[in-house]
Amino acid sequence: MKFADSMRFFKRKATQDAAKGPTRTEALASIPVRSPSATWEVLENGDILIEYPLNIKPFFIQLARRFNLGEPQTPTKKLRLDNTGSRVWRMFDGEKEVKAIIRDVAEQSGLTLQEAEISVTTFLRELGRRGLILIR
Amino acid sequence: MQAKTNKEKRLIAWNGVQLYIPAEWEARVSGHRHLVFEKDFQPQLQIRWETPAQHSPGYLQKRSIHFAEQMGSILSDDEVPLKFRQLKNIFDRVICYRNENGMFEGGILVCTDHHTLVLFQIFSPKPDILTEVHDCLSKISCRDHTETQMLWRIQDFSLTLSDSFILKDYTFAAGLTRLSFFSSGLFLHTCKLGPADNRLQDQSLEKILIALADSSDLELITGENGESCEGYRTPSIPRQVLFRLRREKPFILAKIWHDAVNNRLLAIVLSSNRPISPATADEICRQYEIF
Repeated sequence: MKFADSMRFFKRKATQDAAKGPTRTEALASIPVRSPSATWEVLENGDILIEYPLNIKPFFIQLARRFNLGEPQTPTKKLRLDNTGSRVWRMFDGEKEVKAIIRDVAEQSGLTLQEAEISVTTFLRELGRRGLILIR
Repeated sequence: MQAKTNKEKRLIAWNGVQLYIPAEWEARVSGHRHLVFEKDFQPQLQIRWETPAQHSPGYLQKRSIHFAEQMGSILSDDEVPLKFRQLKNIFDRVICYRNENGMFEGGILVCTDHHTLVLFQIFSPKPDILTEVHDCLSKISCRDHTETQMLWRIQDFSLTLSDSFILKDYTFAAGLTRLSFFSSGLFLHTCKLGPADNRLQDQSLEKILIALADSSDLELITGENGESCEGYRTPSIPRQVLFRLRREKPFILAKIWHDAVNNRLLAIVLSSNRPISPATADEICRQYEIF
């Protein structure tokens, strides 16, 4: 088998695995939980500031050890949420399902359910990418 | 046209098909000719339709098999469930799909008068859902080719356009719903933005209109009460040539207005290679509303 063919095989397998992810109904019934590694505070204007650790690749840790720079301190990053984002962040109480959050956002913002769903799911995806929430 | 038959039903109209759905259902646009109806985020019914140029039995058979393969179902032409037999009085042909367990899960409705083929799929075998689906399908109406106007009514807005406008694209993004149409050299974008109070805190109507029209050289006229704004671009002949060379439409006519009652901003943007009649824009604006 040629190398290119074998790569195609693995690609196909990866696509098939990705397709086995949760369905939309399952995803909407899931419960988002704030990651314990992230700390957050409420600012004076009500916005939320989240501080979360950045993951350092093992390669750089090895590099630091090799050059006797000691164990590198975990750097953190801050993320400030706007008014709507802060409101949604407060809804992650570990009990509310995604669909309930969508319904609340639609009611509070005057959006239609379809608009609110796009808004909330995009926000969740972004938070998940940064490791700020866990999905139960 | 009456939008509500009673408290429990509401009218949905999209791309030539109109039907009444239970008030607690949500209609989601999944394609140019594909709607999914949900209750509490659970899909209950989906419909797809097409207006094929061919109506031969062979073509119909081919499409039926294609849909059956997509749904993983088995065709059963004769055994239409009792509840759905009345549909045979409305449609010229009713074909049913069953799953591997023999459960009824959808079908195809053929209306030769309106040259339309409607595929429906039911997601729940519960009797009350089947009754609601039957009610929806028994009142479904397809666009009559003699009609000159077409209604678009979904979510919270309603729009009536000449039937010459063909849907090109749509967006249901957070806070921005945009439909794009084309009709004999004229491009139309209808936009709905919300919530209006938040939008207007950050930007003026003029700036929003310029962003929607994607043109900074609009001549703007603000309405007397400040609740509406119009923008025009009618370039000179050399500039028209320049725009054409850039593959841009030289003529633009755009309007935006604030629906304070519903906290929405509604806008239309017309663009063309030829001058646009303000009457066309006025007529569209009159029939574009939040309900």
